[in-house]
Amino acid sequence: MDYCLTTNALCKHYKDFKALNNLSMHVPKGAIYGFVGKNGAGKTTLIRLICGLQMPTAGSFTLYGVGNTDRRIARCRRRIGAVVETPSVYLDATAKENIKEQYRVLGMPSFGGVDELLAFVGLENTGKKKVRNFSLGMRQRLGIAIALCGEPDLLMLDEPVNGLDPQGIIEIRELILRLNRERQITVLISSHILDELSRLATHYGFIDKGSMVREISADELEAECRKCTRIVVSDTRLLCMALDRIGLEYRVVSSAEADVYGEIRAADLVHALDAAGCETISMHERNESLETYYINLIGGGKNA
Amino acid sequence: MRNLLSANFARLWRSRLFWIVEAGVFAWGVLAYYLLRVNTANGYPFVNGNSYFFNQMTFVGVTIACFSGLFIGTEYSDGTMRNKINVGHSRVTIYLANLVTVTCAGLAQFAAYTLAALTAGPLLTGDLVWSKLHSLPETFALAFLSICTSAAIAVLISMVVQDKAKAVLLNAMLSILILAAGASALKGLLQPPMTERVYNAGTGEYAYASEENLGDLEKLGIEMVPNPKYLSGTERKVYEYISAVLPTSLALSCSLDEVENGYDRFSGLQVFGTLAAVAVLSGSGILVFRKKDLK
Repeated sequence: MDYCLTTNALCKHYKDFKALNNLSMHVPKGAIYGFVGKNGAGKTTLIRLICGLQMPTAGSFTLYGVGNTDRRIARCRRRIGAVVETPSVYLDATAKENIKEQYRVLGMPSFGGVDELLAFVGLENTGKKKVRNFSLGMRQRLGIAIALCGEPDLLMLDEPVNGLDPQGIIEIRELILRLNRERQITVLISSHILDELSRLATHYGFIDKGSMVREISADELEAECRKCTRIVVSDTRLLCMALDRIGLEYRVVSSAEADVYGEIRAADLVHALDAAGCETISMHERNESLETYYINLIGGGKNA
Repeated sequence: MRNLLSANFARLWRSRLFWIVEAGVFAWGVLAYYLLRVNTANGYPFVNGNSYFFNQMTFVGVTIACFSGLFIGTEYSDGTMRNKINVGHSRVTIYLANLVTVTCAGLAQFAAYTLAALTAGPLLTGDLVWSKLHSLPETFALAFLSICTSAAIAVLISMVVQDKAKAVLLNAMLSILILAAGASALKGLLQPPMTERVYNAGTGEYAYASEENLGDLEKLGIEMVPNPKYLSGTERKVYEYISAVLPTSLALSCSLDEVENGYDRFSGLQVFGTLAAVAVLSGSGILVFRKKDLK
């Protein structure tokens, strides 16, 4: 798999506090990577390191194959766009002036595309209104527009829906999906709003106390969170034979446990197993949401 | 660097703060020449044209400091400094671009005052504005050196202190402190080698001039004695070096005669001092800014 961003045992310490502690992650090209963690888990710190706002204490990262100590990393950063914490916009300027300012910073030869960019994020009708008078959602969209000025391949959004109203959340979600689908931009979204992430992400990275707890694709996560019945039996070999005969989908978890997917009649299954000489010890329904999956993974948290 | 300068100057042109300062400095120039007109009408002697023509130089360090704190501080408070780093601009070029921008803003303030002197000056005082002016090219060079050093100090603080309010406050306080230090250093250097002393010719006692002894002027004598406050030797050298690197000493020197009491206001020392001050201040600023964790 091709990765646009990888980190290897990345550390960032502020005096005695370890904001990042040997963090290793892999963001595949074309993915919408949900970077999940509690407040203070280290999500923003990682984005700051990748953007060059701060230097790692130890470890390394590569951006499109270029290491963070390589001189070419500055040029490579032109391929990324980021909104770190709050949107980086001049409050005393209009949306158009902000975009033009970023065009100048990038050294773009002309301002062609400014209007299209504003239209893309739905800010084409803001006219002479200063950003100071924008709603939080509008500022967030302008922040994303500025991040898009250099036509990045990787967009990093730090808590993009924090503080937004439901309408604002929907607008940002649709914008991210359009960017990923229409422009093939890889998006890394840090968030602790799991429900929102579950509607977008194709891959997840779960971070806790500065360390990566688990990286998983949305398909794998769906499989893990899929509604199933966990059966504990005396012999899974016999259980498999019985389930194959009935035609049910299953996954063996251990020598005595298996998850059976789909609707099952407990009496029929126990009867079938009994006939095959397999003792049913216990049976219970499992229906894990992303939230419970996360809680189980991290071990509980107030902010998640 | 070129892209950053282009972005900075576009922002400067759009900046309300910049135009308010420009208008304020222009109004100051008009006021200065209006006061000259009032003073001469009341019979006050008009001795030195430079003190009016370069009057703004007294506080240029303060205005540059406040402007820099607000202009660069906005990049931190609005978070737009991140937009420059995110897209791969090096911290050195960001620092230098801001230094050039603030220096140019300082020169623009100087230009606004000079414009007032050249327009409102003749309108209010007629040909008087041109009289008593001396060593103009040299004084313009002094003003340039002073503005460069003031900008280097202001940018150092503005780039290192991320909190906008703190940066503005620190800049303002430091600039006033430097103004006082510069004035003090210059005052020391401008002391004449000899001074007058009054004595009672009858008794030979030294006395201050007062109503009592001034009534009997015949008894008073005046003699020239070495000035105890005159700086010489190493002490004078130290004062000269200090005033060569302090932007306020250079700024206040703009109002002086070419050479006063043995103090040469414009020499290689001033040029070298300014270059050294700008290099050391900016070098230190860049070193700190490069290592700084930005939010």
